[in-house]
Amino acid sequence: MIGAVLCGHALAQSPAGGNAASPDIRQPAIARLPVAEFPNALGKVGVIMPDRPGAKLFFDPSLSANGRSCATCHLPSDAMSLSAASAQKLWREKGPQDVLFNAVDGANCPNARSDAASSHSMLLKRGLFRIALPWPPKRRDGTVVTPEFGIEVVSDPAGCNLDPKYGLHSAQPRVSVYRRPRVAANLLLIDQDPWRLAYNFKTGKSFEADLETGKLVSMNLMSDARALTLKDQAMQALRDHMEVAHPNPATAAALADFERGIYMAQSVDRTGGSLNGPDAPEAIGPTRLPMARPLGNGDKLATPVFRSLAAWRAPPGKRKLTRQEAFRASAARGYDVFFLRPFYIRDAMGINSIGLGNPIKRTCSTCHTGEFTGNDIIMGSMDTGSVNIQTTQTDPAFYRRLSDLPLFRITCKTSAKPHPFLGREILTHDPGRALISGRCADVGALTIQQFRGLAARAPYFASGSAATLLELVDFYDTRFDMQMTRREKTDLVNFLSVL
Amino acid sequence: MMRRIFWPIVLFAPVLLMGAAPLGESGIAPGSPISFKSCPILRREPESMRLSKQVPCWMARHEGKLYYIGRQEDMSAEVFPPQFRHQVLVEGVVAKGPAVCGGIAIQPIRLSIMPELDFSCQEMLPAQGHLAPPGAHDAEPSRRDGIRTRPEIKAGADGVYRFPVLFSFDSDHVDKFAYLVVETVAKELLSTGRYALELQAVTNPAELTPGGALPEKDGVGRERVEAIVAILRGLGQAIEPKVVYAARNPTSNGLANYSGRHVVMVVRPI
Repeated sequence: MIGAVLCGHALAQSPAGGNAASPDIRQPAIARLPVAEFPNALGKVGVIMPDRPGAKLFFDPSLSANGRSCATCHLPSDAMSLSAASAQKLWREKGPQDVLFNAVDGANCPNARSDAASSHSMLLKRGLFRIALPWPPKRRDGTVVTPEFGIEVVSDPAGCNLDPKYGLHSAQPRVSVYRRPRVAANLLLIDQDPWRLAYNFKTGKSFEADLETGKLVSMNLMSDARALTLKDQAMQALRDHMEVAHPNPATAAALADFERGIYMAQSVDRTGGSLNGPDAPEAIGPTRLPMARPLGNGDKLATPVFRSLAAWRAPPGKRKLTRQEAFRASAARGYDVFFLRPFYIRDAMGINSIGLGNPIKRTCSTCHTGEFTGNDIIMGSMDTGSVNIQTTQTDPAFYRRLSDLPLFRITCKTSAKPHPFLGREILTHDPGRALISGRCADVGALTIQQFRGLAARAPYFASGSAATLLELVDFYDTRFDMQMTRREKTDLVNFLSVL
Repeated sequence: MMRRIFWPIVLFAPVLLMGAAPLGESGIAPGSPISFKSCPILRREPESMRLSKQVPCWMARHEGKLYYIGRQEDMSAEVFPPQFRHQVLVEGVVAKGPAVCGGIAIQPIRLSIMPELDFSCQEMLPAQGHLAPPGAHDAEPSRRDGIRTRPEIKAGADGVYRFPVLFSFDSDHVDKFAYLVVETVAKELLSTGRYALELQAVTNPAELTPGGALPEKDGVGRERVEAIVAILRGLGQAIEPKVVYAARNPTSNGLANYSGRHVVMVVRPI
């Protein structure tokens, strides 16, 4: 029985498996439910939405110029993101007519043949949307950033970066990268005041400030922190994804207000049982999140990231565990792997470069410090090798899976500081934050994501390169030479799946 | 006001040792200054302790000798730790006493990470019975909050406040200690509107052992000034301070050379 459970979710999560999405996932009525639950392959995800004016707007396709609503890409059933399985299901049911596949970003390139699945392979295969960013980068006020590097296209399977109209050498030069939609939930925990500091000790510089209020911002929204506030992100999304020529700031403000009240987590595990209610551990289940009061850095023994799962440990002296008990004990062990099992973190810009040493022997929570969420509470922009081609300690097979993504060569100017671990010439599938800052050291740096609702929103990483939680764990096991046992991997997957 | 330059004595409490180096084997007398640039080397914990909280040691070779240059700490550490893929400039004093982690100890010590990459700097040594001495932090989540030591706000006899902001060799990175100085000046003095600011940027070469100066790069003084001004702007102090540049000559005292790389924030009553 224990052996069967140890296999657990590590094998259950198939890349082809998906969410049996509710037919009402795009309706605002679910905002009036205490916890709206949606089934997924590993159980159910629960979403709490505030009954605020922005709720109606969030689900309203008339807000846009192309039939989309915010819920088109941030589905409650998919943990307020979008799973590749949901995209595939919509394609099977509605084909290219579904607004999800609009050419602006739901196609590999706007000029691709809209009725061909191959034209939407990024979205269908890995849940990736095309993000087109100006080159060179532009500041908030529209002035141009002088980049520290040149960029060349080495490989362009989607054809957009070399396209004469949409590409790097077009009349309006753009770099197209392909990224997963971020989770639009638990944002009050993600977008915290920058830890009572005005200074980002990772970069040695100040945090940026909201242009409207002058208030310093967390820089933890978006993969590349290009939106400084939720309202800012809503304005960008209305313009770029919903093709509204002149977004209404009041609409964006209402959407942001609604999003701040959304909480989400896995609420039921098919083996572990209910994850809600008073018997659940303190940081498990969606109903605990609105009351969460993070105190700062969760990489502390006094304030662990996900508090304690001690209640799930195997009862002492009990030799025969029920299936549920065995699973819960496995998840508790998996939390120990996450929080306490040391390994050497190496060559990761944004963690090894900030004063901890390279390498450093620490744990997963060294980077994933965000209490109750597992993101990084201090502007979590890091290069862990998920898009930059690393030369050491990474399985070459991982990069072969990214072969359908564009590949860029970044060449840093001699006057600029090089990337701290990759130097002045970098091959990357996504320059990340560097497309905003223009800094060489930022090439490939992407904002760490939260852990909530992982079971509902495969695949993982901004590039969608890990199809399952096991592949995600395998990436780190190889990347950092963790030498994890099969049991450790299973336990860790089981832990991640209940968040 | 200036951060302490001496490591806690606990660093040199009795530790497990094998093959301790005899005194004087370095060829440099204990108590003598030493400065050199070299690849950092990581001495790992024993395989049996791979999953334990035991942390690695940092070592470096100079003229055929192996030196101990620190252990893994956390963000509260006063010495910026070494980085694989970068050489490290070591400035300090050869310590008296037994070897630590199989290397000649340097204490006190200051480290600067060389900005350019050197991909040959990735050597790991096996434990061979050596363990990192006890320290402030092990390979686990922290037991403590970050230590924040603010500078004392005290004017000189001339009524002028002077706050040195230290930088590593060739670096304009405002680290957490330097930031506290800048923030204190901004919040406690400049925000009152009653003071004017002057920045005195000083560069200082390293004097390598056994000889030879290693100058800082051109323009690093200006870069340091710009970094401080940017931080001040982020703190709401959009000012254009008077700036003075100076260059020191190196001495044989590496720690003095390290302290010589700074920007003094001179705050005068208006």
